[in-house]
Amino acid sequence: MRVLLCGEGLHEIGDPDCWSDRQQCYLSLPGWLHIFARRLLEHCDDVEFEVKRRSELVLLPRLRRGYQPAPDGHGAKALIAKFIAGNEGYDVVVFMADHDGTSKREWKIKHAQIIEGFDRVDNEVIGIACLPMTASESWLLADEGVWQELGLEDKNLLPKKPEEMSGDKHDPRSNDPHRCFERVCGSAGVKDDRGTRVKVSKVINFDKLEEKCPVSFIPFRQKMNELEC
Amino acid sequence: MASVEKLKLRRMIVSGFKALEDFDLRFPDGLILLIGANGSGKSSILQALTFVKYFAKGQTKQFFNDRHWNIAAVRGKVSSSRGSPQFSVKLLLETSKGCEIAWGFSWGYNTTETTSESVWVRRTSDAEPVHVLSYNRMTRTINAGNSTIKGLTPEGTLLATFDPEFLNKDYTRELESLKRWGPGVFSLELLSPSSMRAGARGIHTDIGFKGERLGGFLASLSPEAKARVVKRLQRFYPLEGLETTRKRAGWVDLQISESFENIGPVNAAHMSDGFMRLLGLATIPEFSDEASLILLDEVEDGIDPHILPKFINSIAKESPAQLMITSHSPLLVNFFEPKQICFIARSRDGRSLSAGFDEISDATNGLEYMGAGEVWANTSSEKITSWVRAASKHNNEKIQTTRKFVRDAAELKIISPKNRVKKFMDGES
Repeated sequence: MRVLLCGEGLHEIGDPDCWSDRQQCYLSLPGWLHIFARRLLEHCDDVEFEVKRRSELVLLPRLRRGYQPAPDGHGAKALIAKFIAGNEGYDVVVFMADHDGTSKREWKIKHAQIIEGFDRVDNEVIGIACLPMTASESWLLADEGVWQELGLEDKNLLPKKPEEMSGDKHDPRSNDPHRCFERVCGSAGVKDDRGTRVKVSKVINFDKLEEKCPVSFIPFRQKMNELEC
Repeated sequence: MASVEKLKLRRMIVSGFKALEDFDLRFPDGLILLIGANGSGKSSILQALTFVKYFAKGQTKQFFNDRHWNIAAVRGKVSSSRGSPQFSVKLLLETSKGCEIAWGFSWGYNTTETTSESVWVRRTSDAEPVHVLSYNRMTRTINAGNSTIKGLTPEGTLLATFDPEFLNKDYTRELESLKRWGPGVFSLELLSPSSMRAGARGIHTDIGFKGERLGGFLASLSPEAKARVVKRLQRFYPLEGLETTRKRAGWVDLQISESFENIGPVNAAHMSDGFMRLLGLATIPEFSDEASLILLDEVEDGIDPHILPKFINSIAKESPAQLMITSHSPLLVNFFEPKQICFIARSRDGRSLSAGFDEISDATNGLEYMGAGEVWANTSSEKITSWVRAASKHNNEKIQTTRKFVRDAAELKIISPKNRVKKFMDGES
């Protein structure tokens, strides 16, 4: 099975073309989404992942006549992601975006926009939306056991309800998921970087994640589990 | 002189030039946009058509001299033909009234002379195509109408040497139109701001293939034509006016006035590369009526993407000549209709191949919800190459079927008139 992962950047989809000075070659570094996807597709033997940044999905000004208007929001890029996946021989495309909010109603609208984008493209590819409530950090902070293993002593630093985290992202003390993740990393003595996100992803308990992030994680997990290999 | 009709190029088949071997390209009405990866052969196509201009003027060696090219280096790289290397061109041209002219020639790289030339004319779609002119270097014989001329070795077309009326008085009008069409191919494939800035002198009907005659051309324009150039540019650039002054020995001084307060005219030598390219391109619709086909390579170079599609569209709309453009800009491509867009890619054995955007169903499927440029930009080069190879294979199969039909028909002597021109274009002699 060939899976195309589309995400925003280094943390989610890693770096497929990372130049190594030491090894004098390009290396492919995974992001947390790779690890999640691989674990959620354990029931499949042979899964091959490739990645594309959302910024690589090209939307341009165009002649209006003759074409359907692009779907709203992330739908436009989800459409392109599924088109690419179809052309390039993928079976599945996972389109990941942060919700950047705490409203369930708005989450449903954004999720529906991604599905609308997938539905516009008539090909055999299965499209799966991955839309963490607030930000992906809310998922990664959901399992306190993982963070204790990483060295976090004060578990009160972890959010009780990760899907409700919000705050000023420019204020280091705020309850914004990125700032909270930064504080937790600092307290655990690990870097706020791709590597830590990958480490967390490898051992995070998905049942605990479901408990803490039911709105956004359950639909993603279900769709991934439903994939037939 | 017989009245001439403006011809439109409808199809070209080229062999023996760089990676162009049995290269077949069809032309839509209006502008054609060639897109493809680096090294796919887009520029070679423009160069091959530029050679046609030199051939039409009987100055083929000048083509190589102007580019400082070694003749041998240009010969076909994937040629499967035996014998002496030659550059073979077949063009199908059409008048606005539907008269078809098929013009073919071969030119020898070793001899630097015309190897063969042939012209067929079909005046109406239901008329019998007529072979109005032919030349063969082996016999050094021209056959035209009922007359035969012997002992010639032309460097370019016979039309550069002979009056069409002398060659075939029954088809003077068509031959005269063809004689006008070839020299009307204007190539701007090496358009360079530094050449455009350099001074020019003399009176010119175009800006030269590097833009080196821009100043002289602007100075030669009527005040009305110059005003049109300014007006054309004002939609995209804060331009107030262009002043050309002839100085000693005919050198032209080009001054540009921008519409900013407190800034005086600036000499072209100090204008930006992007502006010089805009200016050069804006002169295209003012080329003389003799212009038949204008070739532009990588047209987006140096031009602000915000204005690029509208600017190029305005040039195409206002130009009376056909335009052939190569581009690497999906933004530009997004503003054109699929039928105007042609993918160029290489075959497994290195030949350049073409396939119209609208011939590729995987590409046109995307047009339901994307522009052509978005489909292009969101598809890998490898996938596009596979699309073009598949479409080209399909086209080749169609050509082979036609060839077989023509061969069978020839044996049974049942060739229908309609197939005669097609037979010529498909290489059956």
